[in-house]
Amino acid sequence: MNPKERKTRGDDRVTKGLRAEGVISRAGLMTSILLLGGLMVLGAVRGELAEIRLNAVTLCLSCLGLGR
Amino acid sequence: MRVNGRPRFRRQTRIRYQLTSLVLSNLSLAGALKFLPYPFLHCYACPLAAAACPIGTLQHFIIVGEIPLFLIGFVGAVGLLVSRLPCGWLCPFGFIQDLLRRTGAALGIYEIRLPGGVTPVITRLLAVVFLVLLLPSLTGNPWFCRLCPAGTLEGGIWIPFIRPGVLSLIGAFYWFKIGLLAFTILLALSAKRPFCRFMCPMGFLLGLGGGVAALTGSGSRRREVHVEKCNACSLCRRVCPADVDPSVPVKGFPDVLVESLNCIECDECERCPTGAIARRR
Repeated sequence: MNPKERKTRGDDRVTKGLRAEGVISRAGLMTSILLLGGLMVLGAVRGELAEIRLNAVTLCLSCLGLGR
Repeated sequence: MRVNGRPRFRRQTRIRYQLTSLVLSNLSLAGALKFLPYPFLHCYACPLAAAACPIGTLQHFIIVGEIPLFLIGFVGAVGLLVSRLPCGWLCPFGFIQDLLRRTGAALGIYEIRLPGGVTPVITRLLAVVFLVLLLPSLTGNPWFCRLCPAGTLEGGIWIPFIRPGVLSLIGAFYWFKIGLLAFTILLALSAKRPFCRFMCPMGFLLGLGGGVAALTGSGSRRREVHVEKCNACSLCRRVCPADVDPSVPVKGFPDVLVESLNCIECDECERCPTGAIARRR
């Protein structure tokens, strides 16, 4: 594509930018992040951190192609 | 140095972050931090791993039939805050692939351009659906880990040296894994980040926040392409480690979304000599 065509076709990008604006509002985004934070707290309270650690320190032979 | 009033992108900064992350994620700390997942893919079987691999952990929870609330919250929050920024700035295996491609370029190895756009998104999605979710739940085996070349490099080739007892367990599948790693390394010498772009489930999950992420996607620091300044030099595509071409005009919402799913937020495209690509200030 030559520069001239690029400029003509892409004029509206100057304001649009690279991102999908308008898909979710700022408030919706922040609420989602807070809810995900809530999930993390819930998981931690449920004892998932201990399970994550136990799984991670157990000798894993998957990287040898053998499974656990 | 400043271009159009903006500070010029400094590649060394990203390399410093990648190096620091490589060291910190391999501090071991006697496994004290292994209750926390990394925000990127890094094998917890690595003898020096300081934290837990989020994808290995996800498969474990699927195999035992539990919903990993903490992990879902963690990965979702990272994705919605910074999208794939950890891929570009922190992931050790991504860093290794960056180095391999730079080495390949220095050696004069011809660059193979792998398909872009929606194709890598689909292959990453298939890796998530089949290797991370479906097969582990059906077979009770973490199939992504069994095939993962990052795991082979970071854990698989070291464990037999540290625990000679496992040598007798090694079979044909191990050598198949070594072959996969060798293939990935050879491909990374001539193509940009092949594993990250086509296989990495973590990249797919984080990328879901790509279009809207609070700190990198839709906030005041979003990246913009000022097409009237573009002189079509293609430097942005050539330097992009994910082979995204930010200068191609956006034809509609789906294209923006696909581009955002592939972008690893490395900011390399901000090296644009005319300042056509920059973050909004």
